[in-house]
Amino acid sequence: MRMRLISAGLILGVFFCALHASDMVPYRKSRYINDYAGVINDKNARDIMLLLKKFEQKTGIESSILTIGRAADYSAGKEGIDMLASQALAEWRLDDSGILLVVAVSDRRLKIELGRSVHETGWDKSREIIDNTIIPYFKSGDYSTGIYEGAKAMTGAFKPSGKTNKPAFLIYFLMGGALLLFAAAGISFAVSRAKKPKQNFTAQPGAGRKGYGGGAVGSW
Amino acid sequence: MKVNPENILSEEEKNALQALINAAESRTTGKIRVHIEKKAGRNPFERARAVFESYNLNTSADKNCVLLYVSTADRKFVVFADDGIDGKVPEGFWTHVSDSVTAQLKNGEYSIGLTAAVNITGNMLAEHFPAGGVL
Repeated sequence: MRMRLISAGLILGVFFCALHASDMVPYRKSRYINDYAGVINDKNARDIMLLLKKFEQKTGIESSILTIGRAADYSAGKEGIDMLASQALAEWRLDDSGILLVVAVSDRRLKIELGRSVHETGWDKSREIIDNTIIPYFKSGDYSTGIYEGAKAMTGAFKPSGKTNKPAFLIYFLMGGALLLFAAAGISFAVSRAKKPKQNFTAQPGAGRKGYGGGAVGSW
Repeated sequence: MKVNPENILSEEEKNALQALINAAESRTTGKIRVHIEKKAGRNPFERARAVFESYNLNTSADKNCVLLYVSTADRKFVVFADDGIDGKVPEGFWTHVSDSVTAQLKNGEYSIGLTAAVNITGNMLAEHFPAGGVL
């Protein structure tokens, strides 16, 4: 009986956690860009992705961009975008060393939320980027370019506070990782050579193929 | 461009979309088709594959055809791409297409959503499979 109660409690707990999480913050489908409002064009999206990736490799700061329609859709109701941005920063694990740019297109609001270590060095810069770089584009309706230019300005303005001992640590970490990878690759290669029977690949004609093709499914 | 069952696109919008597809296809050897129907059934992705085959899109030499599929009753959108173009696009590209479109479909903006999808897909096809032969 007691066990049953505990397990029921656990299940309920997990259920409510999941419910809460999905209610409050949009799901992070992709590391750099989650364009739920559909305002970023293809070229800008690719450029932003490259930009943020490079920035992350250089500084260790992980940045992400989120666009939504209205903040109220995520039960962030009265507190609006501020609440949503800080919740997303925490849930997407950007709260330590990360930057999140949130744009609520229908609310006409945007926010740059900074993780702890970025906040120390750059808290005064986000207002400047919003006012001088992003807003002029948004006013003319060009959200895509506004976000791209904003991301560009962000990568120029922010840096982590505890930068001094990071590179050395990073190099050791990378070297260790590379060694491990080599070892793992070697082992798995040997295993696959030993175990797998040789496969015959045949060219498949188009008609009647099953399991080919790629793409994506979305619902609304 | 298939005639849709529920007339969610006006005649004017349909013509505009067809013109856009023609323009996109003039820049690439790939093809784009739009199919709108009521029900997708249990598995929208498999349904899209079946529709893809019913238009004979799976027999192109470079395997570079793309189907934009909409099910109005099930509220599903599928972008289905053959292996040739699927192998060339960056990771997450189709999800990006799907997200951009469904954001518009949500607001009932079928024409805007599909226009965006044709534009994005057309650009990608033109980049990897340009018309007028390979250099």
